[in-house]
Amino acid sequence: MNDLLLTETGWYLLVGSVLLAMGTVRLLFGRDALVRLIALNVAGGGGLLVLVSLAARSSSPDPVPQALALTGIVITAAVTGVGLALIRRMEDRTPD
Amino acid sequence: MLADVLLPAAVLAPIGAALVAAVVRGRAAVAVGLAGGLLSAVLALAVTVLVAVDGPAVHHLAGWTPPLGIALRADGMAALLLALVAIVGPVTLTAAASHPATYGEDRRFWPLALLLWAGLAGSVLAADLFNAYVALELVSLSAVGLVALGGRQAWEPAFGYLLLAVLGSLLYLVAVGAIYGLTGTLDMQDAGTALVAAPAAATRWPLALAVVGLGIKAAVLPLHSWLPPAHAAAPGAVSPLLSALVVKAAFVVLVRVWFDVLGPDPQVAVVLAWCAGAAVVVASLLALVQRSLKRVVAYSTVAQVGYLVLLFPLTSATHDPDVQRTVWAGVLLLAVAHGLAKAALFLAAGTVKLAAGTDDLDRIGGVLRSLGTTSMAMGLAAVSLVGLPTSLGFAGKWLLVSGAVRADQCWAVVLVVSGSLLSGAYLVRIVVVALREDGPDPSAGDDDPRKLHAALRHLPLGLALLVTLLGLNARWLAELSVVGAAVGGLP
Repeated sequence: MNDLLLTETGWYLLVGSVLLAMGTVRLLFGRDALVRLIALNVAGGGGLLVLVSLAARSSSPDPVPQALALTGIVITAAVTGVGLALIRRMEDRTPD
Repeated sequence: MLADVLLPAAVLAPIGAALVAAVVRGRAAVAVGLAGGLLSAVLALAVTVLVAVDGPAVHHLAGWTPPLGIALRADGMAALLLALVAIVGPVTLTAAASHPATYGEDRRFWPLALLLWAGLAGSVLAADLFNAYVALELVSLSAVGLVALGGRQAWEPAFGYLLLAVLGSLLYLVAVGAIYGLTGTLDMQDAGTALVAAPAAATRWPLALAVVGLGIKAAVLPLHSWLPPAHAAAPGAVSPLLSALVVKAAFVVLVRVWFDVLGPDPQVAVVLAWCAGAAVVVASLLALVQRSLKRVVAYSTVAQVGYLVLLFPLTSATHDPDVQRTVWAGVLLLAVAHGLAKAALFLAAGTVKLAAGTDDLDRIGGVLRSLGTTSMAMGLAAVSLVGLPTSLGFAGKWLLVSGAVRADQCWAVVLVVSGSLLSGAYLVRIVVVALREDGPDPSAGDDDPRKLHAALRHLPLGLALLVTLLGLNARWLAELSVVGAAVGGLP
C-alpha cells in the first residue's frame, strides 16, 4: 500500500477516492438542493478519476476504463440536467 | 436461433416504442404506449418460455463475442423477473390508460414508462457489468421522471431519489472499475472465473462498494431513506412500477455481482444479515405508525426487501448445494410474489386515493367500503405479503424457512415468522379502516368511486388473485428460478 502511494497512479487514486468521499458526505448531509447536486458532481469527478487512474497503471493506457469514464461523464451530465430542472421547479414558488 | 431474436428484442422493443411515444401527441401517445407495452410483454414472456424449455440462452449483439462485444444472457432468474415485468407492466399501463389522472394527465408518462421497461429488461439480461450499470441508470432516470409526474409535492422526493440513485450507481461504477482492474474483463462470468483463486482481501472492497451502491438502489435498510417519500408521492400508476419492479432490478444485479463475480464473502454476509433483520423489523414497525395508506405500503416494500437480502447470509452459511438452491428459489419466489402483490396493493391504493382525494388512513374508510373489489384486492394482496397458504408468498417463505432450518440458521426462521406477524399487523390496520363505521361519507372525495373506470377497479383484483393462486404452481416457478443459477456449484 505504501509503495502504491509513492507512484503517480497511486496519488491519483488517492485524490479520486478523497473527492468521492467528500462529495458523498456533502451530498448526504447538505441541506441546499444546489449544493447537494454540485456535491454529486464532485463525487462523480472523484469516481471517474479513480477509473482513469486505474487505466494508467500500465505504460500504455488501457482504453476500457477510459471508455467507462467517458460514458460516466455523459450520464453525469444528463443527471445534472435532470437535477437542475427539478431544482428550478422546486425553487419556483409561484402559487398555483 | 430464437434466442438471437428474442433477447435483443426484449430490450430494444420498449426503447423503440418509447421513442415513438415521445413524438406522437394526444391519444396516439396512449395507443402507442399500450401497444408498445403489449408487444414488449409478449417478447418478455417468450424469453421466459424459451428459458423454461431450452435452458439458459445467450446472445452476442451483432455477433461480437466478449471481451469486445456485448452479451445478453437469460437464465432462470432473468426469466422470472421478465415474466413479472410482462404481467405488472401491461396491467399498470392499462389502468393508466383507463384513467389519465393516475399518471398526472401528463403524456410524458408513456415514453418514460417504456424507457423504464427497457432499462428493467436490460438490467436483468445484462451479462456484463458495465451494461448492467447503463441499464440501471436508465431505470433510475426514467423512474425519477415518473415520480416527478406526481406534481408539486413530488418534486422534492424525486430530487432526493435522483441524488441517491446516482450516488448508488457511481459507487457501483467504481466497483466495476476495480473488478476490471483485477481481471481485465467486464463480462460477469469471465471476471468470476478469473477471480476464483483471488484472496478475499482483494475482492472485499469492490464487493463492499457494489453492495453499498446497489443497496441504495434496492433500498436495503439503512440505505432506504429515499424510498418511502418517492414511492408515496408518485402518481397512482407509477408507484406499482417502482415498488414491484424497479427495486428488483438493482437486487438482481447485486445477486449477479455476489454469486457470479466477486464470490460470497462471509464477513460482508454478516453485515447483510444484520441489514436484512433490521429491514424486516424496523421497516415493519415504521409501516405500523404511518398515517397515510401509500406510506404504509411503501414501508412494507422496505421490509420485504429485507427477506430478499436474506439470500446472501443464508447461502453463505452452508456448503450444501441443495440447501443453497432451496434458499435461492425461496427468495426468487418471494421477489415475484412481492412484485405482484405490491403492484396490486399500490394500484388499489392509487384507486382509493383518486376516489377519496386523500390517502389519509383516517379519512378513506367510506371509500374503502364503497369500492368493494378494490378493498378485496388489498386483502388478497395482504394475504400473499403476510405469506398465508396457497399464495406465492407462502411458497417463497416456506422454501426460505426450510432452507434456513437445514442451514442451521434458526435466527432467520424467527425473523421470517416475526416479520410475517408484523406485516399482518400493519396490513390489518388497513382492513380495520375499511370496517370501521365512523369514517366520513365517500361523497366527500373528488370523484364518485362508482364513476371510476371499471378497469381501474378490477385490475388490482386480477393481480391479487393471480398471486394468491400462483402458490399452487410454485414448484414450476421454483424449478425455473434455479435454471442456470450460480448457486450449488457451477451450473
